[in-house]
Amino acid sequence: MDMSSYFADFLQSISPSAAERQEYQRRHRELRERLLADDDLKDLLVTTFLQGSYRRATLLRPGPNEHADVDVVAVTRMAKEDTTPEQAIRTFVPFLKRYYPGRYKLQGRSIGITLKHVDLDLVVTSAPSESQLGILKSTTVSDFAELEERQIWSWERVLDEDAEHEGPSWLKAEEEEWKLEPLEIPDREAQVWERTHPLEQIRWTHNKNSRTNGHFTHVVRALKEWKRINKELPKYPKGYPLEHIIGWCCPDGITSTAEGVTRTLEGIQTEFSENAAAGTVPMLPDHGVPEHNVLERITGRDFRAFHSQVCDAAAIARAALDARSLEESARLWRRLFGSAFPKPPGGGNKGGGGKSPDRPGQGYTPREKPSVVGGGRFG
Amino acid sequence: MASEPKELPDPLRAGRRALDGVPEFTLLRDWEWDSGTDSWWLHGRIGVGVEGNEFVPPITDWYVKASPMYPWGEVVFYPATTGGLKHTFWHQSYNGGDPGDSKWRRGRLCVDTSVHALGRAGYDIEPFDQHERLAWHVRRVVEWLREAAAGTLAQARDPFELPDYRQGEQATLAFNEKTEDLAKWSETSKSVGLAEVVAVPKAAETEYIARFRMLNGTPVLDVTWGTFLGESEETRPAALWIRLRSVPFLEPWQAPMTWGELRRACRTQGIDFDALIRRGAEKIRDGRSHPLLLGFPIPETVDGSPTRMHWLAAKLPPLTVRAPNGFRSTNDKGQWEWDRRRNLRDNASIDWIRTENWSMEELSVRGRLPASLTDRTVALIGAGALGSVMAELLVRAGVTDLTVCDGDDLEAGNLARHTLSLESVGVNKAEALARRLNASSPHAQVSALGTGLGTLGEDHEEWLASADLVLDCTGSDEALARLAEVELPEHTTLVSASLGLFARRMFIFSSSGPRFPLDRYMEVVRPWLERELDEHPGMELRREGIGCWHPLFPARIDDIWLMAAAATKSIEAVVSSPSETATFRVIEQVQDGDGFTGLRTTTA
Repeated sequence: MDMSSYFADFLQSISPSAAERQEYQRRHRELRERLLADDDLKDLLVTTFLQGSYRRATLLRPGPNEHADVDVVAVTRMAKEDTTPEQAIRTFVPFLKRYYPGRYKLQGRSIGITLKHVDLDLVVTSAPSESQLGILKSTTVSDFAELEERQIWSWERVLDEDAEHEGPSWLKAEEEEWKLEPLEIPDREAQVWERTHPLEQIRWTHNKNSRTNGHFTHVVRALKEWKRINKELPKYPKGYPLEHIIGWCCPDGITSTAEGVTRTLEGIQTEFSENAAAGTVPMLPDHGVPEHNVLERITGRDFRAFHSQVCDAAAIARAALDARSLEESARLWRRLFGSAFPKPPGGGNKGGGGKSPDRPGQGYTPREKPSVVGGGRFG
Repeated sequence: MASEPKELPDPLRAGRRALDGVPEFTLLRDWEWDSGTDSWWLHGRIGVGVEGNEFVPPITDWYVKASPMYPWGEVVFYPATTGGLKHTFWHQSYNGGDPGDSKWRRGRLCVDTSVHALGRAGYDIEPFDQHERLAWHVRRVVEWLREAAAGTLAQARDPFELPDYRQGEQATLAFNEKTEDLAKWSETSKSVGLAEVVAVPKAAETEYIARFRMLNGTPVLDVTWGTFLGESEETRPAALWIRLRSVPFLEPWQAPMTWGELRRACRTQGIDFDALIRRGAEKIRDGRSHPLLLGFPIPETVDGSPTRMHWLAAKLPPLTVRAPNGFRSTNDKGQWEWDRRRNLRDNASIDWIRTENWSMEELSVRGRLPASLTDRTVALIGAGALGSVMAELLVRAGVTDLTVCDGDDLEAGNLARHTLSLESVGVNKAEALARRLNASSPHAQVSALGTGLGTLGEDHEEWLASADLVLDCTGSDEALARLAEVELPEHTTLVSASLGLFARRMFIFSSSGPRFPLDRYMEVVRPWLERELDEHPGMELRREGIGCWHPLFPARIDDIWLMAAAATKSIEAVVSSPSETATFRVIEQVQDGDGFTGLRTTTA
């Protein structure tokens, strides 16, 4: 059963709450406004925008002692030919000392800012080409994040047929003038500038969502939750690489998150069975930077272990999708997703078949007796 | 619909999740809070998988209203303005009219009754479990829709139901139509007339019909009411009554809401509404608003034959008294045209008034004693604590013809276990009781004799002889002795009910005429009285306050009510299956270590 109502409540419980998101929004806007207004930096900066799983709506709610990560990109005019990665990052230190004293940390590829409820990850880029400047400076790139912040977290309206999935033109990438190029970010440890294309990842995700009736980001979050609670899974793949694998295998045209989860798991199982058997890692090109293999950091051993878990999960998901009763379906989904997935009435932890009365969820089943007595009494 | 950031309660989520298991239902929009109605609203679609007809499309959209206290509180389905039902059906409130901006129409469904149409006969308990309740409602709506599409919403054995006329809540007009009255109506050929309308004393905006007359004033039908209503003298503007052949409605089951719709509904029955009104118009053309009564026979079950008349009432706007231009002032034709074109024009709304049938049958559906008891003429001796409660039980449960006799006045000390109130202190108990009992029923005709049996005179003898149930509640040996002196018809049932100490026991003795068997009574009751003395050796009875010598009989109000109720059942048994010989029953309260545990009956 597709259990769309159950999935809606499940997704809500694993995603940041409205209050949490409001706090994230406040903090990232604050950072970005400060950057663009800072006397030292304002002439250096082209624009700022959001990237990462928060931006793509694939972020899970952080655990009790964890912070969510919100990634902010600051596009600068620093030419990579003239600036070392170290210098590029250090340019921001006075700003950080001024606004986030004691809270910032210079990392390999970004600056981490630890706040009370959220961690901001600031990535600095070198100057884009002239042709790109125009597009990047256009308000649609940065402001669109604001607009979509409501829409991308559309799981709230997952049960709403009228929810829109429209966006500005650059997302459609049809017109030449909106063609985007990768940006370069500094790698301090390796001492090199690296190519990355966050906007392309955003665009790809947005379009994938449109092709999957809005369910793709839900499938990603659901499977990230599966990863989180499944102790048998190896540490990697996780985060963006996991998301990328899901994007690779999730079919278009799905009409429910349940269907998406099932067919994605089955897709991974089929697509990568040869790699798993041979102990090799597939090559999945990054969107916008095709020479990068998203999975390059994963070992063959880990990939095989991952694939094996996916096979088991695919079987459970298929059984859950094909189950004919609400109770049976919910029970199986809970095996995959744990206690965040709502319990069916009467608990979801019984063994299969056995003693529980058979209730085909179709049509009307005469009830044996009321489970909570109400009515039938008057005074 | 205002959308406020209000947190969706978990029970509503659970209820909504259960709908994943109802294949006919598709969720269109999740629960949203509407501060205007203080409720949560769900927008959904139901596809019943049958072909549908001109009134019911196969797919319909709905708005479901739920209380924030779900699973408690109401759960109601309304047709969506877009994509929902537009007509009014059986088991539905009026669904017509213009919804304006509202996303839903006003015709709420009524699915929580036990009717055969919804696939289950008898008493089906609505579940109040958060997981089950919403889905229960949805399934019943699915059934309702299937029946509506098949045209079988009103099934043969279902109770007949009138369409929703959206009657006002404030005023009520009561009529009294019994099964036997239908025959009287059938005999008369009159189809228009005037009815006398009287106000119910002290009741706000409640009136009743006292008499039906022809237009020339000749009475057509007298309406019999009890003493309380019969004594009222506050007349109201007369009602114009017209008779129809059957319920006026528009397909599928919509009440006419405008004069035009009413005309159309009448035409379907072959009745010319305007012609009837016009005949009576001149009698009510006095500048005042008069009610219009529409009477028609209705059955008890959908497929049954008519069993009684029902009356609808509408407020007729005052008919014009002016002289319209171009007509002489006394020309009724001109005035009628004026009325027809203005106040009674087709698109003018009808202001329906709430009507109720106050016949004995209708008012006692919640429970009444059998006719073998309620048809009796009852002589109640003694209006003390026990007598007052016995009378209350008997009259409310259907006895109408009762006379109560007692010579005492009510004292404040009586209030602890009497049914009368402070306003009757100092008044003769029997008279005050008769007034109270008459006010408790539109049909009661209770009268009082203000002197005790001790002063037995001719009045009492006549009175006792005319009763067919004599009930003694005095607890007095002397009263019984007096009673035994009177010769009564043989068929009279005689009952004496009295309480023992602390009302732990009740002694019920019954026999038939011609005389009360006093010796026999004393014989059977004595052993019990002795037992009571043994149980309470040397007991000091309480006094009424300081300085008073006379002892009081100890019996608390709850004990009296308990025993009086038991006595009623006993009397019911005696009257339904009368015995040749006298019977004596003792009803005792049973106590164990925990206190009261029940009643036990011993038959001597």
